[in-house]
Amino acid sequence: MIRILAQLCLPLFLFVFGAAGAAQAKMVVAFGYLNNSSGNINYNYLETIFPNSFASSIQSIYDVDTIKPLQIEEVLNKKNMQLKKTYEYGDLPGVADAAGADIFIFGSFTPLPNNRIQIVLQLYMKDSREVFSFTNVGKMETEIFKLVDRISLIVTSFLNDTSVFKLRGIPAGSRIAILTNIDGSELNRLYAPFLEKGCPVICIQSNDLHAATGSDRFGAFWHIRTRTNSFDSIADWRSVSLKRTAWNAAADDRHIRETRAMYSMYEDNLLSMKNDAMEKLKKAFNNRVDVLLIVGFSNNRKTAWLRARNVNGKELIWMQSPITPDSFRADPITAIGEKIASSMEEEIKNPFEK
Amino acid sequence: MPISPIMKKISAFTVILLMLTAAGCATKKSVKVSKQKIAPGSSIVVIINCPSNIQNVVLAKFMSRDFRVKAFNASDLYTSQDVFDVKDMKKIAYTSNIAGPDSIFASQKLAENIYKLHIYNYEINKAETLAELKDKWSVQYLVLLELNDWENVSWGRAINLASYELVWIENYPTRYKDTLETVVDHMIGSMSGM
Repeated sequence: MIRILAQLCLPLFLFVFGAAGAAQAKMVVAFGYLNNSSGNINYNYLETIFPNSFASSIQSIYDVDTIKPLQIEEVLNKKNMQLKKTYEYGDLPGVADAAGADIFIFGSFTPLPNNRIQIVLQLYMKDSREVFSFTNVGKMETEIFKLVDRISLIVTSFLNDTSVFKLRGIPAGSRIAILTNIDGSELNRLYAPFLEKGCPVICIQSNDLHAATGSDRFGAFWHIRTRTNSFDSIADWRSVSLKRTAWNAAADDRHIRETRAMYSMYEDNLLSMKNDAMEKLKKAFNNRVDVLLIVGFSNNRKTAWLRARNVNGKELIWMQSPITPDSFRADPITAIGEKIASSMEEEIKNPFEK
Repeated sequence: MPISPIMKKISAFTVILLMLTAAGCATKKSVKVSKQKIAPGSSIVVIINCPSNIQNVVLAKFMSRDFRVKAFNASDLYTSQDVFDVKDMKKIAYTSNIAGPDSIFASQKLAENIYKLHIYNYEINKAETLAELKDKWSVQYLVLLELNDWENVSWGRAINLASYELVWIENYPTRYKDTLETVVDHMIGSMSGM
């Protein structure tokens, strides 16, 4: 009897709790304002129109709950907070928590000559405390809806399971350099699919018997900061406390100065230092590197993540994780290499275009 | 006829074993891609990871096949661990009178930034060394070899220093009957197409 009851109740139980679980799992994406950085007040109306359009567009193709700027404003006002037009990275955890958002999106726009407009969007992810930011340029009036769709596409692709961001395909014949955390015969297995495809592989890292990048520290390349597109973690430098008391010794003061200098050099000036490094890299290889692929493998080599940087434009052009082999029988390194090599030229398909 | 639970377990175990074996074999499969043959008479530098007496055997093999082998070895270059150890820098970041998890996270990020710059600079330094090999020593190709025993994979790689492109790669599963000389012969044959 109990068994029969259990059999009858099980589907109902699964339905009720499954539905509750699904409802709980729905992601909440909150949109802040898009700041008008032109200074021309005639464009101020776009500060709300853009985020509202993105929210509607994203909700039409992706299963998320969206919150629009005026709704956030209401929520924040109840908590004696205000929705600002710009945010420091360190402020983002607070505003996302207050808005009840898993993802908080804000940004800015700048009208450009020839009736074009540049939009910079920043996505803060609450769970990982990471910020993905990208820049897109489009026509102001005739193609404004296309621009909204294109940007919504970038957002939804990024929110998907494989976290894809692809600014554009990498043209056939581009000379690529691969930086990765494997070496020796494993590295050959990664190179093989690229070479078989006829892709010129420039000898970064392959010129060494052992990789300098072989340790877990390679995970540092997971985050990437470039002039236009970046994927970075939030480090609130204001939270760094340096010891300073009435009993400070000269050595302590020197220590504080050195630490400040390090933060200033390797965090504040990181972008310019990296751009310099890219320029030197380009010159060192006699201008023969077009794209730097950074591929990080898991310890068992069964998954990988990818970052691609355009060495000439110094911008992030492709980001994807995780990349997994389609078959468990295949050599995972070669299979992952094949996947990357075969999808290099591909553009992301636009679901808005029927 | 029903299958007993023990038989089911044995079958499942066999399937898993076969899957693991297949995956294991896939990683030891031979790999070879050659975009360009490196003809005898070419000026090359060979980098190998073995004691000097064995290096001599390997270099002699190349010389006997008419390659112009330049006197250079990996030991002439500093390895990344010798010179570019960033562990100390990380220590500086950590011991900077900081408190709380946010502070540690910020310092970790700083260490990561330094590490990334260090890797870029290391690759730049190596590329500059390759340019010197090409321009001052008239080296045409850089050949890297790692020779391993039976049941392991020996591998080789060649770089055309005029274009900085990889032109040959090979993973060769060393056979039971192989010797150092047969593996090197195989690699030279594969690389030169002769």
